[in-house]
Amino acid sequence: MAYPAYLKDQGTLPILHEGMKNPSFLTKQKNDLFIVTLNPSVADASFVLSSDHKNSSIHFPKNINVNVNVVLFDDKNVDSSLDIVLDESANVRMNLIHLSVANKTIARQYRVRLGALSSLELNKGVFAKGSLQETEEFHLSGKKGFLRYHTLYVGSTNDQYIVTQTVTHEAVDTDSRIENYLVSSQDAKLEFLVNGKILSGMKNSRCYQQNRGVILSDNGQIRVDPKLYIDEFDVEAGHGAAIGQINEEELFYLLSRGIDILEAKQLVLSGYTEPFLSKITNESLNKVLSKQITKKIKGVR
Amino acid sequence: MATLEMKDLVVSVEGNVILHCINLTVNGGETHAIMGPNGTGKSTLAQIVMGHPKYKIESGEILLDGVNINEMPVDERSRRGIFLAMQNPVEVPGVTNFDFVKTAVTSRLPKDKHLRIGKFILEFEDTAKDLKMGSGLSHRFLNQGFSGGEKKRNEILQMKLLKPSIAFLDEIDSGLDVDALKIVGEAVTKQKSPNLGMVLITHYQRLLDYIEPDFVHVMIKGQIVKTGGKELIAKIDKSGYDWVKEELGIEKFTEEKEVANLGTCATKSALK
Repeated sequence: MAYPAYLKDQGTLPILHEGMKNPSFLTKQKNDLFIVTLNPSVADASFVLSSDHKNSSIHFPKNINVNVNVVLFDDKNVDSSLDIVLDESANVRMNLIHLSVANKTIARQYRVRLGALSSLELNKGVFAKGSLQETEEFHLSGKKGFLRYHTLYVGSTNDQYIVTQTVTHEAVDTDSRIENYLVSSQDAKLEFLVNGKILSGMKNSRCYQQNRGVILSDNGQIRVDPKLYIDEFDVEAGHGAAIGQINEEELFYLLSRGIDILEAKQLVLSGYTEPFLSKITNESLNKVLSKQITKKIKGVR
Repeated sequence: MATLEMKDLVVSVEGNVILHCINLTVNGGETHAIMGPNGTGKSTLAQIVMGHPKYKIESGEILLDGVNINEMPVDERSRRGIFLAMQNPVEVPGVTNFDFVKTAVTSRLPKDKHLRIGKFILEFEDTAKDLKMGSGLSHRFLNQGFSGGEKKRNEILQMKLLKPSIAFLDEIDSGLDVDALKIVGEAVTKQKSPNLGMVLITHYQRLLDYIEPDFVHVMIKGQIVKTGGKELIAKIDKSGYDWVKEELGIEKFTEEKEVANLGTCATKSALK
């Protein structure tokens, strides 16, 4: 497989894959899944990517404190899973980026488990092209587990994304917040089912969801179905979804300051993309993704 | 010196005429105050000059320096020097205040010129400091999480940096406490110059204690029914608008309040 030039040609971007001599990683799979890392201390984590590319896992041991960038690039139809496990007191900030070539059918299951006192700040950007079906399970299974999950999904042309996210609070004093930022351009259809569950007895837990979607054409669709299943009294929970086309009053405000219509729309859109991009601190990766997002919104395949 | 003229302007929204035959001329260096009860079209007047797409000009014209701007796009009106400090500035999440103002200032530059970013940063910070807006303003998302007072001060900050020739300040005093009102009032007064014509829309005298108008207009039922000097302000403050009605023989006007059902998402059940 050839890596896309926009990734391969980044001189400062350390793309790791099979055949590269880097003792920090154990990568057994072919080329489709690779991990980009910026922080050498990530060597303390073990990455086990299966040879059949079906089931992969990233395991963060006790007390590790790392920043990780994971880039998933699919160049063929895929049906796979990725497990992410944080042991006790692991502290992980992860950017997870999903790209693909055009018109692929991708099914992927994510299973994330957080141990006691562990913290995961997951920033995910999905720019896959074609049909995507994702199931994401987050299990806060240890006391005081902490999850912040921010996403940006950009669909264009005839992309179809169907995503089910479920956060389950399985321990006391756990804290989760999901923020989904969704963009539908051209005929893209995005469908999200967002579930938050607090099990009986899991006191002092906090479970929040926020969903924002912008539809840039008359044919695009975004559907979000946020749900909370709360089986305990002593908890905090909240959810909401705001979806629509670009707000006329927002546009008027920007135009009234002399900003032209195209730039005004881009500014409003940057309100969706910037929260994701601002967390990509690697300059090269940030530039690459910024360009990809712009192309994606314009529908360039 | 800029001149804005409204000639026999009739404006409607969704088929209902809301401004009737407005005639008003604002020259650079002049400060006009428009006062009037709620719902009489004061904000509409400001919005139609800015070009809000919700409103339709049925007849008459708006001229900026002699050029008819009835059909001019909103952004071009702005670049030609019109500014509207809004009553309810919208929140734009994800767009930082600094990026927004920088983009707006850049939009005014000729295509072959670039913004001198260092100089602009200093100007932005100095202006924010003058308005006592606190640190961190530039990195906050546009108006998101701003208090009412911060939003109004942010409008004035934009006005100072964009340097318009005609500015409408729509109820810039609402949501401001006494100290903030003084800061905003003084900042606006400092802006007074032969290069800036201002229109203040307000209900109260208190803003006009800080920004002295040259002309005061009373607007009722979509019309400017009386124009005078500062003496009108004191009279309105003391006696309201009923005397205007009596003096001019205008039928009783009342603020129309529309009753709306906000609905509920809660369900009620008996305690066990």
